[in-house]
Amino acid sequence: MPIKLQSILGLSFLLLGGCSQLHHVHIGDIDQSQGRLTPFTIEVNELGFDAAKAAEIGAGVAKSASTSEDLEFVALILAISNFGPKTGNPVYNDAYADQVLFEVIKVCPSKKITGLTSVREATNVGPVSGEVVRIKGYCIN
Amino acid sequence: MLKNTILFSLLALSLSGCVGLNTVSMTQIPAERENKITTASSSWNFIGINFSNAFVDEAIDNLKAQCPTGKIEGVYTKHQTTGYLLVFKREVIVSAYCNEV
Amino acid sequence: MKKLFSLLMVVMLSACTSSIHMSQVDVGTNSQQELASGKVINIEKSQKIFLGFVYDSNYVDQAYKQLLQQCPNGTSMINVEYLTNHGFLSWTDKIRIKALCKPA
Repeated sequence: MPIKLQSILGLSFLLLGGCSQLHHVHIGDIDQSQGRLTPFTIEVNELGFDAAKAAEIGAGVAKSASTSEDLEFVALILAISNFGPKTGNPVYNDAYADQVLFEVIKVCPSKKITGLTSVREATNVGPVSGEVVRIKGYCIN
Repeated sequence: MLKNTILFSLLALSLSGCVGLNTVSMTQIPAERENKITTASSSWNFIGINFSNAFVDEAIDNLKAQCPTGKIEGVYTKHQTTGYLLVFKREVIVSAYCNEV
Repeated sequence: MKKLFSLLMVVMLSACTSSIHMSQVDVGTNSQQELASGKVINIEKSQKIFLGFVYDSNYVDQAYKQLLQQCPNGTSMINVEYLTNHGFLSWTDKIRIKALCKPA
């Protein structure tokens, strides 16, 4: 395949792989009987990067055959070094969502909370993404 | 002989199943925990092709049947998939507490 | 030199990646007192897996059991996080539970 065509295909793959991806949603009870509800949102995110996928794309668009082979080898090494189930792209910090509970407790001055929705989502652009945990809910006033 | 042994071992390992946890969910745990109720429902498929997720509703119905007049609290749900070569078992395992109001 | 640099880059990029599969927060009470004075507990259980051979998910049940023990009066808020730490031909699945126990 000519290199130009490969580059176009690679770029198309990057763009097509973009946009938002929903992984998990959990909706809790909503109590509208105790007062007026004020919505709040807590969002934490981390940069996701799939190094193996990036190396594969690099191998696809590399000008020389030897570079392409090297990058394919790198992709293989990265794939076997980062073994395991993945939701979205891997991140380099597994504690980015650790504080959500405390954030939720702090957010309502009335300390009365209802209607919590937990969303695990991502915004992808090829091998790079924003891995997001979003908690939406209501303070009861 | 060695080749057969390796192949047989691999087959035995694969047939023993590999569990993949999909999700875990918990609701608030009550102080009253006398009456524990549990249920599990599953659905088998070939190479991951499914036509229905009705097995989840089955678990809910089972849970409700065990607590017809009470309040179901502290619902702990595990959704997991076990793979046996090309056949997969999707499973929902639920435990909860049935408390009379 | 270039190859050595590339190898170092690969080693760095392959270090310690993780994936958070889900993070769920659930609230069950609207009692101001429970949210203001409840005790926060942290539980973490994990399972190391080699080459994808996993035979149970008992570590999750252990975490739940510990939660029941640590909150004898029940909970008013729970956060469950399920994540995986990736490794060389192996990985570690983890369950992290943070909960607000109801005061006695």
